Amino acid sequence: MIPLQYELLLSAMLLCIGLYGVLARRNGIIVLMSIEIILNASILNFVAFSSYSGDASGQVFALLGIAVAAAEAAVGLAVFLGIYQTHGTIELDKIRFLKW
Amino acid sequence: MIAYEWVVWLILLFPLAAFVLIGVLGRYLPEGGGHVAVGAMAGSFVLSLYVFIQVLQQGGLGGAFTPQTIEGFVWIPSLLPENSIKISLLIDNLSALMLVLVSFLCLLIFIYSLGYMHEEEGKPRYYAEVSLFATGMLGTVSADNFLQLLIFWEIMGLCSYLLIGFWDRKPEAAAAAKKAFLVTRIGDVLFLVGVLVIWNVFATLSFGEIQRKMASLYPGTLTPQLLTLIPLLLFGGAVGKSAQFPLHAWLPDAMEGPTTVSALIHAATMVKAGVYLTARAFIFLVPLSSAVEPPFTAILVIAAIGGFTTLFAATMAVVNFDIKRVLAFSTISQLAYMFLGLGAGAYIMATDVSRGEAVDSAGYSAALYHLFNHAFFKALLFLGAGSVIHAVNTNDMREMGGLSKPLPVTSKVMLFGALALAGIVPFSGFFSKGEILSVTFDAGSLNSGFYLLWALGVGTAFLTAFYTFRLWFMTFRGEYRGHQHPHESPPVMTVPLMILAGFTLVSGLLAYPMQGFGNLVFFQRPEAAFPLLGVPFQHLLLEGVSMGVAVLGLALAWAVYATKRVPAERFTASRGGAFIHRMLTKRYWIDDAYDAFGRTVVYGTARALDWFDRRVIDGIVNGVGRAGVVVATGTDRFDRQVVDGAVNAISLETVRTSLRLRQRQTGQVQSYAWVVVLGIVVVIALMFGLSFLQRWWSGLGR
Amino acid sequence: MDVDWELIAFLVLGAFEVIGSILVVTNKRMVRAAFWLAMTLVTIGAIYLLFLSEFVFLIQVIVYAGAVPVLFVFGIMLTRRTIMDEAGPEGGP
Repeated sequence: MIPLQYELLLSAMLLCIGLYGVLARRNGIIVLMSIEIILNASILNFVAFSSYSGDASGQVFALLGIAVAAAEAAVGLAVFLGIYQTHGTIELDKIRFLKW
Repeated sequence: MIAYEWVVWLILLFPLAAFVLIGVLGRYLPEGGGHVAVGAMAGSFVLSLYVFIQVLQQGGLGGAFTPQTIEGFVWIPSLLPENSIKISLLIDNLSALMLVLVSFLCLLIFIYSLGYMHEEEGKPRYYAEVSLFATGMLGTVSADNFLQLLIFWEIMGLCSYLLIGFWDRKPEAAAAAKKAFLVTRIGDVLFLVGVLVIWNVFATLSFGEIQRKMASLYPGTLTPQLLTLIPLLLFGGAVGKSAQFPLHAWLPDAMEGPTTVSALIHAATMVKAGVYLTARAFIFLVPLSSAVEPPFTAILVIAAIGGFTTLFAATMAVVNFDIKRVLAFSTISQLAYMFLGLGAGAYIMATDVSRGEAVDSAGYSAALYHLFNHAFFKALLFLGAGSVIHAVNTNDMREMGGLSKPLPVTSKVMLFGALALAGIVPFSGFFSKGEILSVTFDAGSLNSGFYLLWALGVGTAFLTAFYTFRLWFMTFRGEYRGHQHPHESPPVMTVPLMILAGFTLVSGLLAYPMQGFGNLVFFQRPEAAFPLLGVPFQHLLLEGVSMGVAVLGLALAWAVYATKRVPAERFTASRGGAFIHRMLTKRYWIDDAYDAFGRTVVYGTARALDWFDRRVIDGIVNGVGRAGVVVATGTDRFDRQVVDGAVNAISLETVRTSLRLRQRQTGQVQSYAWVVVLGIVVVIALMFGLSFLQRWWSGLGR
Repeated sequence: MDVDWELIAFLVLGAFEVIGSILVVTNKRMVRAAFWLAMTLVTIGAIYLLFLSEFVFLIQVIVYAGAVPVLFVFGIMLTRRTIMDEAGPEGGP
């Protein structure tokens, strides 16, 4: 049996790498990818705790999370395509229309 | 009893219908409806004559005509039927005579107006107003009760105002109309008060009812003081209407109206109404019941005012140069004679009644005899003066003279009028004036004050003859001093003059076929007194005196103004003479005094009230207003600075904060992400910190 | 010596994941990043297998090996003029 600490450490490392991608990269697609990494880190935790506690409800949450993550990726990409068509770029530091 | 008594209503309704018809349709009628007015007046005259003849047949010549009330309708109903106020007509000797006199003179004056007013503007207005005027006078003399009398009396007041101001473009005419209205109003208010007092005392206003109730109410409800007060209040109305001192000021100014209006006011209507009212007031002055003490004080006041005014007005006539004003002053003077006669007659009658002797109504009939004669000769003089003015276009006698050649008819009829006014036998003025003076002298044996009034009357007879012939000589003798080309008036004007001239001769002698004038206007019982005939020698002497002074006056006027043997300047040469002349020209400064009174007292009161209003009342109002403003300013400051300050401060801070916060809204998604991450970090740090603290505390507790 | 193969597999897979995800967030070439992402996610699925959750592994492979990388490649394709070039200042054109 794999110690839970290792697994949590792995999950935390993936989270941090994903956070780095979200905060540091300017490209919207890369940011979306980083978000996928963060989501997978949390789903990993669900699966791990489910396995350790012998309770299957964690896997249910994991499946839900995967579905949400996939849908979110699709919607996010659609948004970026729309932004690209109207503004000609998806560089996040050039997109300032969220400002009042 | 009068057959067909409803015709009496028609006497009033004819001129009233003419007034309505001319007032509505006048401008479409020829002569401005003048013919309608004349026709209506002729109808009134014929019916009046019919009524008068019936009265004469039943009462004047032998029999006793009972005063007859022609029932009209109930105007103001009352719970007690006998107290309700009715509109009815009263026909007795006095009112029947007055109806004939008024309608006849109005008829002549209306006919004369057709010529005199021919070239004037506004004829429909003139004829409508004179018709209403005639209605007013006819209604006044035929009224059955005091309220009805007052109504017609006021209609006349209104019409006199309108007619005196007929030439309303002239400021003098407008002022004169206003003056006439205001001055007579003083008398009218007294009259109204008198009517109210009568109502309060007798609970009825009908003449007959009052006379019946008199004895039963005295001296309980009707105290002697009230019995004195009532005739004085009524006489106050008469003083205003008949222009006696001290309310005489309006009449000379009333000459601003057309001359026909002056004739109407002076001869037939208006001023005669005052005398008529005083004659009606005899039911109070002479109660005809020995149980009632007659109000001698009131009688003396009436006689004294009459006696004083007669000389007072005659003196002012002497110096005036306006032909119409001389006649106006003479009217005041002659009316005062009538009041003197009424007062003296009432004194004698009241004494007879209180002594229980047979009543001698000579003064009453003498005064109304003079009224009757005066109506004719004064109408003649005014219409003659109108004819002169028509010819020379001026009122000033200094610009006349020598007019007997171009105006032969006018000068002759004026001479008739002048002789009648002066009181030269056998013209009418002589008989009635002599009668009045005789009665006054007789009354002197009862109260010696009447000797003084008699002396005033004799003096007036002298002055009357003097100023009358001064007028005549200045107008018709000597050289013409004007610049017009005078010509005789048309027949429509001269024919009425000639008729009137005939009457100045006849009306005085009328007493003989009637077996004494008293039969026409008898009070209580027929009076068979003939002038000059069958009277004591003393009376003949008195008549001779009045005639003698009149001849003296005539002679003086002839000497001064016709032959100029005595120059007029001689009278004003001495200092006293000049002062008297000035005083008379200024009308004893009474008009000035009234003006000054108006200016100082009325305006002063008004100014004081104005000051009070501006300073005190406005001050209070302004003070309240200013206090309100102060409070409002305080509230405003509180509102602006405290309430608004708080509101503004809050909003301003909100705005400032939001401006500062806005700078944090960069629109950069990743900066938001940084905030999220930092928030998570803080949350985690807090969780760790709190759990650490908890553990530390629990460790400490252990 | 008793070797714990499960642990070794976990550590190897964990190393792959960490290295793969680092490559995803640092790579200048986006298509490569997309493929590194696919690799990382499938490895995570393998870790699910280690935790005896076969169904979740199956779904993970279907979704993250099949659907999501293709989606990202389409996204990259549609927001770039050329597919395989370098990114702009930081990656963009």
